[in-house]
Amino acid sequence: MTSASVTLHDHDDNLAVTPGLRKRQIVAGLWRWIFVLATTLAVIALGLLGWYIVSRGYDWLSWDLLTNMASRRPERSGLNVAIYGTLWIIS
Amino acid sequence: MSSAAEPRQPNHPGPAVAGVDYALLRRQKFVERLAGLVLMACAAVSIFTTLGIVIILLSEALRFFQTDSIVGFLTGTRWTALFEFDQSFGVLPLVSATLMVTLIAMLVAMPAGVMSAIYLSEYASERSRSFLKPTLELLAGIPTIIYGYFALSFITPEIIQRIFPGASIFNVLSAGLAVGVMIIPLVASLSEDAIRAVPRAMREGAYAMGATKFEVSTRVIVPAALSGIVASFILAMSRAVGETMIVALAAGSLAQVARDPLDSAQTMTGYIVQVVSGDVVRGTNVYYSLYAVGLLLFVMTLSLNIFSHWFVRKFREVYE
Repeated sequence: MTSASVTLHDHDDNLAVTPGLRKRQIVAGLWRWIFVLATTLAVIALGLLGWYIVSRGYDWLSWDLLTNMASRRPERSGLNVAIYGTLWIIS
Repeated sequence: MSSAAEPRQPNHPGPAVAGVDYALLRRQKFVERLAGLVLMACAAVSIFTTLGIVIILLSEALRFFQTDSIVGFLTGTRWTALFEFDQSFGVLPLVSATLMVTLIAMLVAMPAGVMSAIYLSEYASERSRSFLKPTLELLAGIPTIIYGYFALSFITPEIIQRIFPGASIFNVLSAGLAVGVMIIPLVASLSEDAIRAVPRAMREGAYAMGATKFEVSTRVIVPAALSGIVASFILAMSRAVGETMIVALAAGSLAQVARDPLDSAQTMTGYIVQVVSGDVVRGTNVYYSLYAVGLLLFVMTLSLNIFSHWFVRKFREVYE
């Protein structure tokens, strides 16, 4: 498409059939980036979410957390029972 | 079925043909019928589940309306169900919060979803599409409780309260934004399906007339796919109306008629969560009010879905 538009601009007298071609192409180019932006918005949201969870959760992740039972003492508490519960629901 | 010696079949009148294994035929027929019955039973499970839900909702809600009037329920602006004294069941605060969350979510999801759909089907190369599409769909697979905590502990303090310092820690805007992000993939993938169904000849015709890509997209393809796009909006809306965990966590539990998106409010689903996770006594008014709110919610999402079906049937452009 670009090569076609270049030749058109070389013969400006012929542009009467397509008034404002230049402007239309600029508008189209702008919107292309708006569409890209809208699509990356979702990717950015996903990235933020992933980063947020990993950065806050990574330090707390350990085998003890996964295998310990729930406890009143936070440093001993674990997800063992909750994990089994989830598995039971799925099956 | 054991009497294989029987020479004639009731369904096959006429003399027995030599070389035909009638026992086998009978067995096949039996298996066919059995398979049909089993499959029908599977389909019936979901139908009966739906029926069961509707019947329970209706019967329990009716009990609520024996003591409280329907008109008062639908038009009242005070919801103080969990007060010990001076209980009032006017559902408008809950409905208004639900609608506000839905509105904010749609303001996020409609433009982002449709533009992603246009980009994915018209602009993106096969390579970037194969990366972007699964990434988008990943958003739909995240458990809603994670969105809820994300809204409460990231979107609110890190984004909203920085821009609007007066915003409440529980606020409708935060919940609405999170719900909006969650339903982007729904809008995007349904709209993209509709856009891809527009015949190639229409694009080529427009390009041959000298239209730019943007003009082809917005003046030919989007109008041609409009019924599918609107249907995706409506389905996304019904998803937003029914969304529970995000709003229960992020929007708060203050039942007031929602006016300010920076203030906290309780949605219909949020109220249901609050009551079922509490210790409400079975058989009380509060208990039955759950079903009244649930019924209203069900009616809302059901009518949205019916409207979307009707809309697609009525406005679909059928191309050969």
